[in-house]
Amino acid sequence: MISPETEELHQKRLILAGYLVFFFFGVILIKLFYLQVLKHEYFWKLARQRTFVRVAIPAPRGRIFDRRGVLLAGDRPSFNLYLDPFYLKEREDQVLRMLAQILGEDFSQIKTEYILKKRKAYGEVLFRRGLDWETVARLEARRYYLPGVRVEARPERYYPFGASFFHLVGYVSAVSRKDLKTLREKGYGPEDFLGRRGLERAYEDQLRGIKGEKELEKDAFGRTVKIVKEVPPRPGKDLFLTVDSALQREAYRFLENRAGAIVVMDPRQGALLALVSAPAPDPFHYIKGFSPAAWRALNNDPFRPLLNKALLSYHPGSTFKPVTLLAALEAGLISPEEEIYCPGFYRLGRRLFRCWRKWGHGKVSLIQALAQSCDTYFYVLGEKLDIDYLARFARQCGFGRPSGLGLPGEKPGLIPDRDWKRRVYGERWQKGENLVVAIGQGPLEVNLVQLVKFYAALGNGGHLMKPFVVSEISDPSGKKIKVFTPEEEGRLPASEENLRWVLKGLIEAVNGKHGTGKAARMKEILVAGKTGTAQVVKKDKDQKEDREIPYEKRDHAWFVAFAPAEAPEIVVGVLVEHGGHGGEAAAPLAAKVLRLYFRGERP
Amino acid sequence: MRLQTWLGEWPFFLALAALMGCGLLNQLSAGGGGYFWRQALFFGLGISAFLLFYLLDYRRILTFQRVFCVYLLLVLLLGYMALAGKRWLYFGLFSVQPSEFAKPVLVVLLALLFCHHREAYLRFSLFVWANLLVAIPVIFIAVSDLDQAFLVFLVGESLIFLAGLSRRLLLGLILAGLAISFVIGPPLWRQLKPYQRARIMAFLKPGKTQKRWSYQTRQALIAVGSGGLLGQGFRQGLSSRLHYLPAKHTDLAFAVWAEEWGFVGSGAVLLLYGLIIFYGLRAGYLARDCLGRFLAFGAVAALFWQVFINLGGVLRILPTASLPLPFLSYGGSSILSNMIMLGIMASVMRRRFSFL
Repeated sequence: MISPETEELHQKRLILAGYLVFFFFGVILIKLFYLQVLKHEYFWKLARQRTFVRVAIPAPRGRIFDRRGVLLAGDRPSFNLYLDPFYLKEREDQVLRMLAQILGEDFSQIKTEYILKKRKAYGEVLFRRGLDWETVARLEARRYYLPGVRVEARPERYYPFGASFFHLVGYVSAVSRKDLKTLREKGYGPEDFLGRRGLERAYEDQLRGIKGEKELEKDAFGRTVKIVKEVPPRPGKDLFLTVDSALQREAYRFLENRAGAIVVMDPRQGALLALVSAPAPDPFHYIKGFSPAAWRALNNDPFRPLLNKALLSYHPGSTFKPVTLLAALEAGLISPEEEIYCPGFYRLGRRLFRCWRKWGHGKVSLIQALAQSCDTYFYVLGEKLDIDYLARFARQCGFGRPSGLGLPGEKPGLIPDRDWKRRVYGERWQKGENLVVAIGQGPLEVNLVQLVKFYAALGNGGHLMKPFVVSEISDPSGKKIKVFTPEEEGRLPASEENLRWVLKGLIEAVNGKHGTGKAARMKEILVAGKTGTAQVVKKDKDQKEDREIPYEKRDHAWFVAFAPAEAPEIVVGVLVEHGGHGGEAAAPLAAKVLRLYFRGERP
Repeated sequence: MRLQTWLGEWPFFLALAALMGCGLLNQLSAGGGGYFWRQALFFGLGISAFLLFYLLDYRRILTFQRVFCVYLLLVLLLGYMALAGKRWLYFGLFSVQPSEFAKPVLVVLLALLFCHHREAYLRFSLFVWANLLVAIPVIFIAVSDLDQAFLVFLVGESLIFLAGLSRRLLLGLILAGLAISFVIGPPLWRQLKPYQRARIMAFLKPGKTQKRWSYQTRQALIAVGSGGLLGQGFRQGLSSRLHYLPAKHTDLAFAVWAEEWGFVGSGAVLLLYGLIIFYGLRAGYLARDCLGRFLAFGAVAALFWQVFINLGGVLRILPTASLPLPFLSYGGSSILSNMIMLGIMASVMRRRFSFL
């Protein structure tokens, strides 16, 4: 047997081993305590970050309807193609080759695209949006051979009337990376759409709704295991417009092959019946995406399709003359019965100011001055008027400030006065400039909506109605959130008698023997209106016929009319950019609108 | 007398049963139904082996000749495995890992070798012989499974430690070890497989290699840490349920357990291992015969090293090693080999009062 000493030594070693085990287990226990109790928060956060993914559910965007409930902008399903790398892993090339065949594209290109997109995506890859029906059908038919390929319908913005409503309704497009910097705090994400123009932009906050959110549990392969939490989205509010879609569409057609704008308004309320700017791109292109060539062509088009011409400011030309006239009448600088002799020019000091009719109008009364748009008559008024007074008067008529319509991008125009001249040029106001402003030229600039608003006031007895285009905002269940009522901004600073005189002039301009706006005459309804021909560049003395002038230098043609003259139901403003003479280029278009409105006639 | 034995030793059996229960629960969570039933089958086999060795008298059946024959057979098998470069022997429905059985065979063989040694410290010739007996299987195992080889080496050295190393021998060993590691260290490092090198690098420099290599360690730490005090609940663990943990039913079984049962659960498992080891050391301390002392100590040392290396790897105290955690990990060979050793140990415990 073993000696007791050896046995004792063995037992000592066993006890030592026991201590060692105790020590090592102590280390493990301490580390466990450190990981599981002290650092629990940290690791729990890591585990959550790895496992739970929050996905936004887009809210259906609010729809836009016209006054009769015709849909102007809404959502329709668009087919998106998704690829799931998890199921594709084994047979990637095989599936992509077949996909390339179906889409009619190059395999290597598709493969590169897939690899690039896969890197950015987590889980499923959004590969294509907006597939057409035929492709969808072909994909579905070969579904068995395409594991990991999925087609899903997603809502996509849809504009049934296309280009004719482009400038009024606007369009939406995906939020860009640049926008995200400022918009992230408002809750926008990189997959959201943003209203870019027109009403889509002006009423973005109402239309967009509130996004929902899904919290997903994802496994190590990126597959969704379950939905932990789901907050449904709240759809956006619907807009009901005062616009008549038929009138709008026809008005757009009238401007075919021309650059210009038509604004139609109900003068009793200020409600817009149509607001067209032509030409315009089809908003669908913004959703589908432009080719670089198409985008370049759009930007270089001399007709400037991307600008809303109803809201740009131009020289008003003769359409401004009623303002000058009213100002002079109110100031008592001229009596309505007074006649002025027009020899075809007016001399101020050494300068000669020409009437548009070189050989003159002879003796002109107030009514004939408006009807024939005699410049000399207004030169006389201009010389008598103080420019600051005229500017104040014009501002009270709604010029020089936004019309109140609320569409983005509206130019307020410019009403010059002494203060402005000093501020901008640092010079004194010259008397000669009075004369130019009096006939609506010089630095003076107005936009079409302002003009229509002013003529509406002329027709309705001096009430300056604030123009509006949205009559109602309601939630998808039909509950009205907000109803817009006509709003009177103020009254024209003119007496009823003076307004009557101007009205007579405007009636004569359309119906008179020498009227400049004869093209807008109607048999059964009395139309009142005023033409305007705004010079873009100063005319040289030896200038040739209009036809030979390059397009960018031709005059802008204006015409604003309302009917019936005594109790107007409708005001039509027409601007044809570089169209030439107002009576020839613009008035016939206004006539078409009036005929359409009163007779339901389709020219 | 019997009753008294039972009264003194019931916590050991309870701890063993509890550990097997934990293992079953863990397999149900980590591996699912199939693994659960097969693990249950392995436990059944293991319990039979345990009872066999528990009831038989180890002094009768374990003779040096018999055990040496088994050892030779095992070495032959391991040699074949090394030549074939395999870890597993496949027999249709199930597969066997022969290297797992090197532990019990070596423990018994060394115990038989040392039990007749009367002196307080090991004779040099015996020391060389013992190391030779350890080295042969270790080298064969190392060809395909370095971690397992290291474990077998540690178990053998533990027994040599109990037999006693004189100070002279110890000093000589340390010097020789240093010299050898400088000579064969660099070529050995080059011989290591890339993943083995990366594991050591991942342990030494976590930041640099973390992205590519220590996914396993990272997921294990997240699983353990996110368990918290009370755990995420049975079959609720995010890491195991959603497949973030690799090798979750084998090497990282403890991570699954720690995630689902929290600090309380993992501490309890540690306590159970501690209890078994305590009873093993106690059995060795109280054993009347030298063979029993070495057997009990060897069994317990093997268990301890397995637990420590596995938990150390999961908790990032040591580099990750792909070794199963006894009873909690899935694996028939591991369960069987551990149950054989614990059966022998229990047998030692049981027979400490008999003088036959």
